[in-house]
Amino acid sequence: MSDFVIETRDLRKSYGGVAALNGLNLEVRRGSVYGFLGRNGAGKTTTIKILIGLIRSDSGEARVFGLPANGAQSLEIRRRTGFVTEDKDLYPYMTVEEMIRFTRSFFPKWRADLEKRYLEMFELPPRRKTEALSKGMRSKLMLLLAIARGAELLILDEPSDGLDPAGVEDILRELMALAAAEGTTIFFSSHQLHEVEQIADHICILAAGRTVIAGPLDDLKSQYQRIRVVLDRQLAEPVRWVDGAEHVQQDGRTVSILASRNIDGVLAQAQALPGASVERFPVTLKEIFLEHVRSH
Amino acid sequence: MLWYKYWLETRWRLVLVLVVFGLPLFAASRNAGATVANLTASISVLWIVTASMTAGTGIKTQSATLGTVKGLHNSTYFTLSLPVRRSTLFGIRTIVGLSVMLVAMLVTSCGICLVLGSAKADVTLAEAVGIGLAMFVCCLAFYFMSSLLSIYLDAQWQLYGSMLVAGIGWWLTRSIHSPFNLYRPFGEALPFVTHIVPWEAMVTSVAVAAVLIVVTLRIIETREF
Repeated sequence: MSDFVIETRDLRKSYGGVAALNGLNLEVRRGSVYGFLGRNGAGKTTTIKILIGLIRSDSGEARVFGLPANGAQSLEIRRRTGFVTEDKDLYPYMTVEEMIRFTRSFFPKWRADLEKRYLEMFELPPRRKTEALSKGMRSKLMLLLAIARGAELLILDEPSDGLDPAGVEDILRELMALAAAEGTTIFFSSHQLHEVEQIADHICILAAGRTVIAGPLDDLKSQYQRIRVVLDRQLAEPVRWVDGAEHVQQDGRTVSILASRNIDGVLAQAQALPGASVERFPVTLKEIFLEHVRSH
Repeated sequence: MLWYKYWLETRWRLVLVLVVFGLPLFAASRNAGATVANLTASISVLWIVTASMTAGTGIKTQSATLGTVKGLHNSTYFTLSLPVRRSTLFGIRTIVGLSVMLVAMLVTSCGICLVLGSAKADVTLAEAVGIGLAMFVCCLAFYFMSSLLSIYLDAQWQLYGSMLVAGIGWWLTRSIHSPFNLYRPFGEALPFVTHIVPWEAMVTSVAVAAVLIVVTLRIIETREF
């Protein structure tokens, strides 16, 4: 059995000549919590739709549980996967109770214990029609429907969309608990980078339909450092920084450098500047994200 | 549970269709001079409207009330992400839709007989049931034409589009007086008037429906919604 629950190789998809995916490569390890990041239109939802079998790629390969997502086995993929859609729209004429009964009928491994737990925790009103629920409540209901089916893989497109901060905390805590207790693989897209930082152990940043950076979040964060240099006087000429200085911003006597790789080299160069006082800081995911999507 | 979902989406359409058919029947019941010829002529187009109404938006989510949803309701993605083949979705939606259409047509033909009385309608209740079944079979082609259009059109435009295509079909075949002409049982050869079962038109309808089913299935299996 492959170690990867999701694998894509050179995945491509265009809409009317506009490339949505441009050779995407992904590897999502079993049991990981994988943050899938990118700006609007980067190709996140297209990738998710391909994985779940809603659309077909033009070329390349996408496999889930080792099964081709494009093929007839997409049915088996959907049997083992929980999916939360971007828009959180459910059948407007069904009540919460009916939605649960409806979904349960497709999944023999339905977890009644989880259904009860989340129904209470999310305070979902069983008799209320889904069209009368707020977007946050619909997000919670979709999450319940995805989790209670006993899925091995959760594919969540903006799962915390519409939730208040307390609701977001509840959901993040539950997702982490689920990954830890059940070994469920969680693949989720979000624009809320602090949420991703809170729960993801792996991330992939997507830009213009291809991976620009991917890997374990801790490794990525340790590769980057923010170096702040305060000079005793303004530099007469701009400095030509060594390789590894990804983004340099100068504001008067202060120079801020986002460094990757060759951090010691950048530090040494900073310390060699006349009258320089140098400090280094760990970076946030937001800084890494902005650095990579800014250039695309 | 898919049966339940599609029933929720079509039940109010059944009510609407019965009301639409019921109004001329009610008017006829209050009019001593009403004849089966003018009554059935006045409702002839309603059989085709019924087929389009009950076909609805096919496998896509449809409003449970009579309101029309513009564009694609995003819960369609939820349906398509379930571990169910699209052909199964289509099959169950079709059975529910056709059942609703059958009920509407049987109630209407029996209603004509009951409203006008057996003598005036010149048919027995058993014959009325037979005519209702014949009209149902003649409408299959229109049902599946609407079903095919629903892949591309939203709830609002599906009905208009279906009526437009049906109108164009009638216009193109208006000079064909063959018994195989699909439109004859709705016009010059109304079974209530002729007392002849339109077997040839029924054969045409079934043949057209079969082709449309195959085409629809092929499209929905690969269609990106």
